[in-house]
Amino acid sequence: MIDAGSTALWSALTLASFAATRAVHRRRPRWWLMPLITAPLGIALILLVFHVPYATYRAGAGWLLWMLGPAVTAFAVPIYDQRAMIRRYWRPLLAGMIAGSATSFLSGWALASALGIDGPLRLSLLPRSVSTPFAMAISAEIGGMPDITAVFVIATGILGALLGEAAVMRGLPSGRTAQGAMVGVAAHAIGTAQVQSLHPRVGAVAGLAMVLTGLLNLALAPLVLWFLPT
Amino acid sequence: MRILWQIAIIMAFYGIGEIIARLTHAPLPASVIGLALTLIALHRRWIKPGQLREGAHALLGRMLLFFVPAVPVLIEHREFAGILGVRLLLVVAIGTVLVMAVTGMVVQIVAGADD
Repeated sequence: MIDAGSTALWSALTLASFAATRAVHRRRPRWWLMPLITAPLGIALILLVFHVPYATYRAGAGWLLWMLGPAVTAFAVPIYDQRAMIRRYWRPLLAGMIAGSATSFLSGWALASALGIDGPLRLSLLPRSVSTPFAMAISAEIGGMPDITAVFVIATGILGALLGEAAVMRGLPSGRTAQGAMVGVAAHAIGTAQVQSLHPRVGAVAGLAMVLTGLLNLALAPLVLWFLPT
Repeated sequence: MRILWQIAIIMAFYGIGEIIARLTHAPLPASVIGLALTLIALHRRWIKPGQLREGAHALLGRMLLFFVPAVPVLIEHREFAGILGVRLLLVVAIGTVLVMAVTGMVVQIVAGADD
């Protein structure tokens, strides 16, 4: 059942919050004013004030989240445009993606265990470095909570975007391919969006690394269950 | 109008991906199958990159907006408001720094002076 009124209301609220917070961030570019932090905060406050359950909001605005799927498909175009670069750098990129993905899963597992987090919550933390369509699929497969994983994905993306931007502007690491891979592997689409304007190759490598890391993690997910005791 | 048409073509690739994923029970998201099909179509020149570029740009440029509806789920998880939330943030923060350091170093070393 699709309720047209509810869809219009919650979609409009989401679009308006995003447009308003983006306008504020353009005027005052502070990290804590990033639209991805302030827009959901505004929406959450409205839901709390009017006693609206999240499920009601999600039923109305969920199609926006669904749009991440076609957006991942759209990455075919920049990947195709960069095919010469991919042919040239596939070795370092593949090495970086494997090392980065292994670090992501293992550090998530080790840190969560050290801090006393276990069960489905610990599993939900593991696929946090890849974009939402990948992460939610992996989370469901390994026994995590996909909705919660989506929040970790976004927190990881925001942090990786900010750290990545600061590192790239200081020339760390020195190579453009390494810079792009670092952001794409660690901070998926959110990091990729952040560095897009800094340098064309950094942005292109980040987009490619993000999609391929998502695929790699999807392929590695069954191994995780095999290696890590739950 | 042209951008909408281009987005419609990308959505069609995604839709075919969705159908294939459902029919074959492939352990891949529909978006990835759609991406692979789009790459094949571009490679085989069934479609020109110019026929998709503006639509792809429009979708990719709005990705941050598409993440927004996932976050307010936190209102249903008051347990994250306390010390548990701090611990989860620590896992995310330290983990992200480690992933970035390892990835950046490995790519830099393997790419070497080539970069």
